[in-house]
Amino acid sequence: MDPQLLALCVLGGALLLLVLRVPIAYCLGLAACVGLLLFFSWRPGAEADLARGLAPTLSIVGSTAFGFVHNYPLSMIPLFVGLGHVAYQARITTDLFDALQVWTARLPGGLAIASVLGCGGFSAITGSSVACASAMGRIAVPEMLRHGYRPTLATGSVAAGGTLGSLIPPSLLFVIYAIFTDQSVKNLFLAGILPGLLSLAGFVATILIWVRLQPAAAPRAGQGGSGEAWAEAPHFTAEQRLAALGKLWPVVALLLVIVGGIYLGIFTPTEAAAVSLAMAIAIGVLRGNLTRAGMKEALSVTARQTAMIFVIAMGAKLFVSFISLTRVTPAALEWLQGTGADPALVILGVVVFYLLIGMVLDSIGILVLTLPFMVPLVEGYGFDLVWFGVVVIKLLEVGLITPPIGLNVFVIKACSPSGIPLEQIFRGVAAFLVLDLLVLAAILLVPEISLWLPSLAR
Amino acid sequence: MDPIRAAGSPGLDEPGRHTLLERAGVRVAGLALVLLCLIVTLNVVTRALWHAVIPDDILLVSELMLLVILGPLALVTAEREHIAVTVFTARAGAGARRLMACLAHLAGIAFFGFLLVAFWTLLAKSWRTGEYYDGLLGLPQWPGLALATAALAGVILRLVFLLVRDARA
Repeated sequence: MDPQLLALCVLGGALLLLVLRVPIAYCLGLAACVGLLLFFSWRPGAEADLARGLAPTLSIVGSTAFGFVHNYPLSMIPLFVGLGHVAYQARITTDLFDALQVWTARLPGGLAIASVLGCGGFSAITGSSVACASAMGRIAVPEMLRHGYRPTLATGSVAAGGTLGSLIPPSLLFVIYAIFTDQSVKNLFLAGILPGLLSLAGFVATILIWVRLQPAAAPRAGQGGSGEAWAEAPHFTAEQRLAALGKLWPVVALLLVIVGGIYLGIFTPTEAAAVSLAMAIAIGVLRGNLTRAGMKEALSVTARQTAMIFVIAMGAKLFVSFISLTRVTPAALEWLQGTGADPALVILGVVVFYLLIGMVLDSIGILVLTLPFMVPLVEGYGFDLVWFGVVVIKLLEVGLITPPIGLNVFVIKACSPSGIPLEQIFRGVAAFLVLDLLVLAAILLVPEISLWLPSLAR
Repeated sequence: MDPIRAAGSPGLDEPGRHTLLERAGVRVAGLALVLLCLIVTLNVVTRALWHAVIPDDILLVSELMLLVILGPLALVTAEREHIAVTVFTARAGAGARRLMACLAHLAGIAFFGFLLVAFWTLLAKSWRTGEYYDGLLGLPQWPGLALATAALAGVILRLVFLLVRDARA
């Protein structure tokens, strides 16, 4: 059997299983094992012999899978996942929101801005958008609703803000992207900073414009929804503001260790992950906020999420091994280049593809399913893989808040008081989606936004 | 609340019950993560202060990673927490969903079955030849492989239980 035809058949089988609700990890892993077995069983000019194919299949499956889980650099994944959960249990996230609330109190839509800035701050110490939305959603959404904010603004701002967790380092998606593209995690982390900050600034601007156009969306204290007298906003003294600033030190310290340590070359990303987790535990214990039960819960959730992520990535790694053997992607690239397609058109096609697939698949699934095919294509057209990584992660961020499967929207729905319909949350994120697309266009048209910081660190 | 679970679980809605061993796997994974974190952090500190490193730190962390990843796998499977795409079959009836859940368990058994045989082959070889990792501690390879193989066997056993339960539901 022609290896490329075999690859297409196996891919079709995997997609069929995927549609039939078979977990992504099983689809990819099983498709890869069966594909490898068939690949080694069929030799040109000879009869198929499954017994002959079994030994090399088991050898590749065993060494690839064991090498993937018996791995030092990848320990940064559970460490960064753990950091987010420990920071939440140690009330570092709550303090962050409380402090920002004081500083943004006099701005129109101050609580929503504090929520988005809190998401940005929490993104710098956690690698997951969903964790970010979940943590901030539990704190900020009830608070905004209590102050009479419209549910669309309250939920939309946190759902959109939560997506920053994927772009601002440390980001799990960047780590997974690095695994499948052989790129430096450090460069990818640095490349995500400016686009992340640009998105953050854009989200704040969106809230300001929203509240300017519809003041009743974010009424001030004692206003009852009219929202015209901003001067009546709660007033905090200089001492209160300074005290609030003091609450930010754990986040700043963790941020310095992660971003500063990696940028200055003091730590590898794995070391930064371990040191920051150890610091978060120490801060939580010393301040008396991290209880034994909290720590147990954080570790339990971390362990389960780690297992879930790794089993998908392991299946995908096996799938990549199979796809590489069949050489289907170089053949596809050759065909595409033969059509004389313009590189800009190719990238536009890739963007549209990710926008569409982002509506129905989750981020990790999209990454592991598409990268084996996309990376050779993008590389073949001479695009920078670090820049492409930022583009893909931004697209995945958009997918987190687009219907019908906007995972962050579901998370916010779960965190919010009952009675807020899903449609209302999707309506809330619509304004932020417009901004997201503008930032995406900027990242696409000006690659320096992504590549400037990595170029400085080299 | 676990954010991933908040997004909905694949397969049938009811999570499976888990055993003491499965819960122990999660606890061991949590402890292994703390230990792993301490080893890497201590290594950074000792390197900065005394230009010394913990012997075979990379190897120790890699071995602990086996516990962190594979320890909770049976419980994650029991609770149906593996991520699946549900959008295309959201309106399927109970019978169809039961069939799809059984198909998912069968696919899982086949995938982990491949892995189990592959790991068993590696384990048998390392036991036979007495292979050990290069390093100061001279750690043998078989304990890590044995742990990984046992964890996979546990996952397959759990999947078989789920399959029988869902098939009879």
